Amino acid sequence: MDALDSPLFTVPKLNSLAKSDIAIEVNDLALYFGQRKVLHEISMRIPKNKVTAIIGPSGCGKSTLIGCFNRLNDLHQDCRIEGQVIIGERNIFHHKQNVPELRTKVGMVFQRPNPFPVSVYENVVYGLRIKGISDRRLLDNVVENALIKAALWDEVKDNLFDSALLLSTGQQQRLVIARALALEPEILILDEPTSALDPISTLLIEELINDLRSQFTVIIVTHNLQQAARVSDYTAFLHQGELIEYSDTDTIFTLPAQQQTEAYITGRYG
Amino acid sequence: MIKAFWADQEKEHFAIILSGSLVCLVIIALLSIVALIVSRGLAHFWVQPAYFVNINESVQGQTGSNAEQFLVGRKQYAIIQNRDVASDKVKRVWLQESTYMEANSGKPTVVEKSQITYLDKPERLAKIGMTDGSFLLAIPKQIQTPASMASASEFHVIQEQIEQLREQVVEIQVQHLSPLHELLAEMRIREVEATAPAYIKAVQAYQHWDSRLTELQQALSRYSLVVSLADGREMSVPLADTHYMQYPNAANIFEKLYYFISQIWLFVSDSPKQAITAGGVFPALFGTVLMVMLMTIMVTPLGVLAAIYLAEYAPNNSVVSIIRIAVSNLAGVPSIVYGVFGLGFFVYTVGGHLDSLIFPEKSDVAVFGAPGLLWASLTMALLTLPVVIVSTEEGLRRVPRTLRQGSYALGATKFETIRLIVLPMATPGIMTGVILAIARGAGEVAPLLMLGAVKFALLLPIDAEFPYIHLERQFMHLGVLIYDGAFHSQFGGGEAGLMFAACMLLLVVVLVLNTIAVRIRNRLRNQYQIFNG
Ligand SMILES: Nc1ncnc2c1ncn2[C@@H]1O[C@H](COP(=O)(O)OP(=O)(O)O)[C@@H](O)[C@H]1O
Ligand SMILES: [Mg+2]
Repeated sequence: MDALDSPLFTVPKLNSLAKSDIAIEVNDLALYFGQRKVLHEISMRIPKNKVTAIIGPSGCGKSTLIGCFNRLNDLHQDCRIEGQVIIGERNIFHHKQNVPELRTKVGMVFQRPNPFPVSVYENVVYGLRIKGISDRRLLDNVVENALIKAALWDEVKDNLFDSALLLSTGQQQRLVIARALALEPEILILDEPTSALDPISTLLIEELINDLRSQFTVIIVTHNLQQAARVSDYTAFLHQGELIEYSDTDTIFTLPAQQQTEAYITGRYG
Repeated sequence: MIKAFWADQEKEHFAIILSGSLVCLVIIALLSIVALIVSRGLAHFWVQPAYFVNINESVQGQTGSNAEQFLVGRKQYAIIQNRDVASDKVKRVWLQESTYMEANSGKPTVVEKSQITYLDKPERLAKIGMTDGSFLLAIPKQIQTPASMASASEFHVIQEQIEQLREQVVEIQVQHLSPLHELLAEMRIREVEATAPAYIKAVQAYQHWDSRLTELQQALSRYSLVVSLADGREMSVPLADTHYMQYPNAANIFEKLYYFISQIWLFVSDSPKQAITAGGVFPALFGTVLMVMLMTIMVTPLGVLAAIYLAEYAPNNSVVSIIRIAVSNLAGVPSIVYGVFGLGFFVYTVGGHLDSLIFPEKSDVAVFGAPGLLWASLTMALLTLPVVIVSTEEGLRRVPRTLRQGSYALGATKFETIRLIVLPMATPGIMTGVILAIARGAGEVAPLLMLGAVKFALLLPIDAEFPYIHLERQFMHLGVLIYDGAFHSQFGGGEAGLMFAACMLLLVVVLVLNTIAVRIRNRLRNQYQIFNG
C-alpha cells in the first residue's frame, strides 16, 4: 500500500530513455474517422516494463489512440491512419504486418468486462486455442499461471468449469486480464479497467497492475486522476486528440508544464 | 382541462376494452378450433355402441323425395353415427353396417328415424375387427379348431395360437420364399439352363417351402369363428382374418379405455386399410415427420450461411439492402408458387438432367425427374429459408460488440470470431428461425400436392432395401390425407372422424416438433442468460 501511495524510487526521465527501453514508439500518428480528424499528429515513446497512464476528458481520443497499438481500429471501415507506430522495430501499420499475431503480443482489456459465455477455463485458453494449442497439460498450466497472476486463482480454482458469467463483475474483469496474460503479451493495454467496478475490486486491480509492472509494459487509460497518480510511472495528457503533455507521473502531477494540464489536474474541467 | 382529461381517459378505456375483447375473440376462435378437432378426432377412437335395428317396410313412400335410397324391411346390426340417437330431435339416422365382405364398404346408409321400429343394444353383440381393416358386427357362437369346438370366450387364447402360425407363415415368406424367388428370377435373366443343377436345386427348395406354406395356410384355415348375423343366418369367419373382438355394449369403462388406446395406437402405427377408411396412418405420419426433418436439415445450413454473409461480410450498400428486402418478401410468396417452381425447376429441370446423367442409356426412366420426397423437402426448405435467414441475422446482430472486440483482441481472425463466439451465441436466434420454419413446413400442403405427396404410397421412403433411404420415392403426408378426406366424407355422417383424427395428429406432430425445438432454444438461452434477460 505504501509503495502505491508514494513510489520509493524515481523513474528515469522520458528523454533519457535508451532505445532498448522503448516498447512503443509513436511517430506523427494522425487518425481520421471519415472526414473527422480524431488524433492530431501524436508522437510519444512508451517505456518498456513501466506503467504509462493516459488521461484526458472523455471523447478526447484515448481509446482511439490505444486502439492503434493493436490495430483494433481496423474494425471501423471509415478509419484512416497516417504516421507510424513502431513495436519491436517494425511499423505495425505495414501492410505485411500479421495483425492476429500483433494482437497476441499486445493484449487489451476493455472498460466493461467481456468474458465469453463459456467456462472460466475456456475463457483463459481462448487465445491459445486460436493459436492451435490443444495439449491439455500445457493448457492447464497456462490457466493456473494466468489466474494466479491475475489474482483470481484462489477464488475460481474449484469452479474452473462453471460459466464465466456466474462470476462477479470484479472477478470477470480479472478473468479478462488473465485471458490476456495467458498469451504472454509484451504489452498490456487497459482501457478504463475499473470504471465499471466497485472500490474493492478497483483496489484489487490496482494492486494487480503494480505486480505486473516488472514483467509487462502496461498502458492504462483512466478517468480517475488519483488512480493515474497511484499506479503509473509516466502519464500522458490528451486533449481533443492532441498530446498536450507527456512526462513522468511525478512531474505531471506536481509541476505540469502546460496550462491545460494544470487546469485539468486541478479539476477546472474534464 | 379536467374535461379533456376525462375524455382522454374514456378514450383510453375504450381502446383497452376494444383490444381486450379482440384478444378474447382470438382466444375463443383458437380454443374452438382445437376443441372441435380434438373432440371429433378422439371420438373417432372411442367405443361406439352397436345396435340391433329393425327397419319397417310399411313406412316406405311416406317420407317423400329421396325414398329410393332408404333401405327397408331389414333387420340389421349397425353402429349408429348420431351420438344422440335417442333424442327426439334426431330425424335421420346414419347406420354403419359391417364392412366385412360387403361391397359398399365404409359408406353409411341414411334412414328416417320414423322407419325404425325397434332399436336395441344386445349385450352379446360383438365388433370383430379384421386384419384387412374391415369389421363385422355379429353375435359370436363358437370357435372351430382342428381338434374340437371351443367357446367364443376363448377367442384371445386361440388368437395367440393363430398368431404363432402367422409368424411362421411370414418367416417362410420373408426368409425362404422371396430370396428364392429373386434367385430364380435372376437365373432366368442370365438364361441359366433349366437342367442346370443349381437351377433344379433352387426350384426344389422353392417347391419345398411353398408346400410347407400351403400346409400352414391349411392349418390356419381350419380355425374359424362361427357367428350369427342379424337375420338369423350363421356365418363362418376364418380366424386367421380376425384381428380383435370386442363387445361394445357390454364393455366396462376399463375395457373401453383399453380399446380406445389400442385404437389410437393402431391409428399411428398401422398402415391404411380399406382405401384409407380404416387402419392407421403410420406412413403419412412417417412421411410428414421425415419431410419436416429433411427440410430442417436442408434449410438450417443454407439459412445460417446466407445470414452470416448478409450480417457479417456483405458491404453496407444499396444492393445488399435490396437483397435483404427481397429475402423478407420471399416469405410472403404464396406456397403454391413454390410448388410450381419446385415442379418446374427441381423436378423437371434438375431431376430430368440428373436422370439423363445417371442413366444415360435409358431415356424413359424418371427417378429424380419425378415428384418425390427429395424435391418436396428441398422446395419446402426454400419456402422456409427467409424466416431462418431473418431470425439468424437478428440473432447475429444481437451478439454484443464488446465480445467480438474481446475475441479480436486475443488474436482471433474474423472467421474464428464468427465460428467460436458469434455463431454459438446466435443459436437461440437460429433456433427461433428453425422453429418458425418447422411450424410453417409441417402445416403446408399445397406445394406438396405437386411434389410427390400422395394419398397412398405403397412403399415408405426408408426401408431395409439398399440404399435404405429412398428420397426419390413418393410419400404420404397427413396434410394430403386431410385434404383428401375433406372431399370424400360427409361431415354430418360422422364419417369425417378419420379426417379429424388426422388433423389432430398433424397438430400433435407440429406441437411435438416445436416443443423439441423450443426446449433446445431455451437450453441455449440459459447458457447465455446474461445477454437475454
Ligand atoms: N467508430 C467511430 N466513428 C466515428 N467517430 C468515432 C468512432 N469512435 C470514436 N469516435 C469519435 O472519436 C472521438 C474519440 O473517441 P474515444 O477515443 O472513444 O474517446 P475516449 O476514449 O477518450 O473517451 C470521439 O469524439 C468519438 O465521437
Ligand atoms: Mg474510451
